[in-house]
Amino acid sequence: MAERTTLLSLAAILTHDLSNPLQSITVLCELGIEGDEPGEGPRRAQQSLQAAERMRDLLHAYAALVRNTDRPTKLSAAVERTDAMFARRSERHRIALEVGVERDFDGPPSTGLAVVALFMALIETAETATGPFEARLVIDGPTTTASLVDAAGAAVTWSPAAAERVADILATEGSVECSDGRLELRLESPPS
Amino acid sequence: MTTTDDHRVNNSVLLVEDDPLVVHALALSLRKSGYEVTVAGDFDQALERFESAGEFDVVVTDLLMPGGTGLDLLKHIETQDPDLPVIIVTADQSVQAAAEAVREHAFDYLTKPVSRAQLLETVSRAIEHRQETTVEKHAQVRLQEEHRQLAIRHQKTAMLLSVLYDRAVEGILVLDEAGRLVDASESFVALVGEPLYELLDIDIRELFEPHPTEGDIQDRVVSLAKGPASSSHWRGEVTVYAGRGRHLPAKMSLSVCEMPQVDGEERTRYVLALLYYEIGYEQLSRQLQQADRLATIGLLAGSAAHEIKNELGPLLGYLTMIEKGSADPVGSGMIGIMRESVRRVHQHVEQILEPLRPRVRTRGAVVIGVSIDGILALLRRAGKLRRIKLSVEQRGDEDVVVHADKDEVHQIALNLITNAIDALGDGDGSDRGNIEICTWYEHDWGVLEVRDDGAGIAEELRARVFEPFFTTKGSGGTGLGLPVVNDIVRSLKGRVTLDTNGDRGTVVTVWVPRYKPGG
Repeated sequence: MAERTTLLSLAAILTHDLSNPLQSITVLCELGIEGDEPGEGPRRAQQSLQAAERMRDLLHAYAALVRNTDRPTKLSAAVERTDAMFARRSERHRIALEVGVERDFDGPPSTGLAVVALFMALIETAETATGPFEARLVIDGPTTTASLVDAAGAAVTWSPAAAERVADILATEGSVECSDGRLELRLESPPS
Repeated sequence: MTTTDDHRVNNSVLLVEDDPLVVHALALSLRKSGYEVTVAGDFDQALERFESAGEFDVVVTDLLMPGGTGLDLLKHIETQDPDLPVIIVTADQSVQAAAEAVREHAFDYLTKPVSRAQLLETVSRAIEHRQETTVEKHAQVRLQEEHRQLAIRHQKTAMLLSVLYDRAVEGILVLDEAGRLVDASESFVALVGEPLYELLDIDIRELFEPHPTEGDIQDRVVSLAKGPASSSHWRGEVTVYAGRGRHLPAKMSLSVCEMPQVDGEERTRYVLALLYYEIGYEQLSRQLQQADRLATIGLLAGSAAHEIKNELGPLLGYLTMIEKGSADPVGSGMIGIMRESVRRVHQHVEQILEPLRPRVRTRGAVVIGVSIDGILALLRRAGKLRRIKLSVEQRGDEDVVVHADKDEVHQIALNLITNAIDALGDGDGSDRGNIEICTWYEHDWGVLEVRDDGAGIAEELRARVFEPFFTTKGSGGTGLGLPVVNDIVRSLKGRVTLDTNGDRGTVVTVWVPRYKPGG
C-alpha cells in the first residue's frame, strides 16, 4: 500500500515538474514560429534546450527508479537520483539539502523507493513548519540519518505518517527509527 | 483571440513564478505583446512588488512557490484591491485546486503548459475586465458624489421650503385631487385661526366662499387635477373664511404638481395653491365704499343742481318784487311760497350731503323695499329712469327685512340698480329696456335680485367684474360698483352671484342674513 501511495505521489510530482520546462518550450517555440528578432533564435534555442534537459533528467531518474525494483541498489546513487528529481520541490519549500557519504552501501531492492519515500517525508515535514530549512542526510554504510532544522535552528519533528510509509516500503529489508528530529534508516544487506 | 503584438504599454502585469525557465518564457511572451512585466520569484517578493511597484492591471501567478501559495497571494490581493484580476497558471491539474481558486475569486485558472495565445487572450480579457470595473467604480464614485451633492441640495431645498412654509406672508396650500387639504403654511393657518391638524383633510369648500360667477373653488381644483397638462394653472379671486367670522378676499393661483413615481406607487397629482391676501383689507374696503359713495354723489349732484336751479328762479323773482315794493310779501302769500321753495332746496342739499356725513354703522333691521323706494325716487328725480320699463316685486306678504346697516343695503341696491340702468344704454331715443327688481325670503336669507335685459357681460369678463376698478363701461364707470357690493355682502356673511339673464342681460342676486328679532 505504501509503495503504491509513494509511486502515485511520485508520478504526480513528475507530471507536475515536467510541466514547467514543457511550458517554457511551448512558448519559446510559439515565439520562434511567430518570427524572432535578429539574434534571438540561438538564445531561444539554448533556453529550449535547457528546458528539455531538465525534462530528460527527470525522466532518467524516474526510469532508473522503476528499472531497479528487483535488484540491489547503491544507496548514494539512489539519493543522488532522488535529490535531482526533488530539486524543484526542495527549492519551493526552501530546503537546503546537504548529502554526506561516509560509507556507501548496496541496499536491498526496495532501497530506491524507500529513498523516494524519505524525500517525500522530508517535504511533507517541511510543509508543517516555517522555512527556510536546513536538511542533512548522511550515509554511513547501512545506516542513513536524516535531520531537518528550521530557520531558528530548531529540529523539526518528522511527520509520523510519512516516516511510517518509509518503514512500510522497507518491510523486512530494513527499519526506520524516528526521534528528536532525526530519522534513521537502517537497511539490511541484499540477499546474495 | 490574437497573438500579434499590441501597444499595451500602460498595462502592467505582475508575474509571480519561481521557475526561471517559465518566468523567462512567459515574461518574454507578455513583453512582446506590449505589456510591462514585473517579475516576482516567490511569495514574499510578490507581496513586496505588489505593495511597492504601484498599481498592476493583472497578476499572473503560479500556484506553488516558496514562502506561500498563489491562493495565499490571491487572498492578500483581495483584501487590498478586490477588483484586481488574478490569473493562476499552474501545473496542478486537480479539480480541488481549481475549485479553491474559483472560490477565492481568481479571474481564471490555466494549467501548464498554456499556449501563448491562451495566455494573452486571458490576460487581455482580465485587463478589459479590470478597466470596465475601474470605469464602473469611477462611475459609481461619481454617482455617489452626485448623490451626496443632490442630497445636500435636497436638504437645503427642504430647509428653504420649510422656512417658506413657516415664514411666507402668502398662504400656501397643498390640495389633493379631490380638493382636500393636504398641508398649509403657517400664515394660512394663522389666518383661518384653526390648528393645522383640524384643517388637514377637510374639504376646501369649508375654507373658501363660492365665487360669484365661478362657483366652488373645489370644482376648479378637481378639474385642474384631472385635466390635461395644458390647463394646469389658474389665477383668480377667492374669498377666504378667515378667523373671527371675517370673509377676506384674496388672489389665488393654482398649479398642478405631479409627484414622480416612487417604488412602484402610482403617480400622484397635487394642486398647489398660492394665496395673496391683504390683511388690512377691511380698511381698504371701507375706502372703496367711500369712493363709491362719492362717485354716486357725483352722479346725483348734477340732477340736484338742476332741481335747485329750478327753485332758485322763482325765489329770485319774488325777492326782486319785494325789493321794488311792488307786492306785499305777506299778504300775497309770497313768503309762504318762498319758504317752501327754500325747504326743497335744503332737501336737495341734504340728499347730497347725507352720504358724506360721518356716522357709526349700526346693523339692525333694514327693510329692503324701503331702500329700493328711496333709491328709485332719487333716480327718478334725477331723470335716470326715463324710457325704462321698471318693475318691483316683493314675493310673499311680508316685507323682506335683513340684518344690516341701512347705508349698506342702500349702497348694495343703488349700485345694482344703476348698473342695470347703465347696461340698458340710451336705446337710441326709444325704449331702453326692462329692469326687474325682486325681493323675497329664502330660508334664513333675505334675497334681492336685479335683472336687466341689457347688453350683458361677455363670459370671459364675468369673473373679473368683482375686481376693484375693472369696468365694462369704459370711461363712464368707476369699476367700484360690484366690488363694493361684494365687499359689503361679504362683511354681512352673505353671498352674491352674477349670471346671464337668458339670451340677453344680467341677473345679480344677493343673499343677506334675514333679520331675526332678538337673534
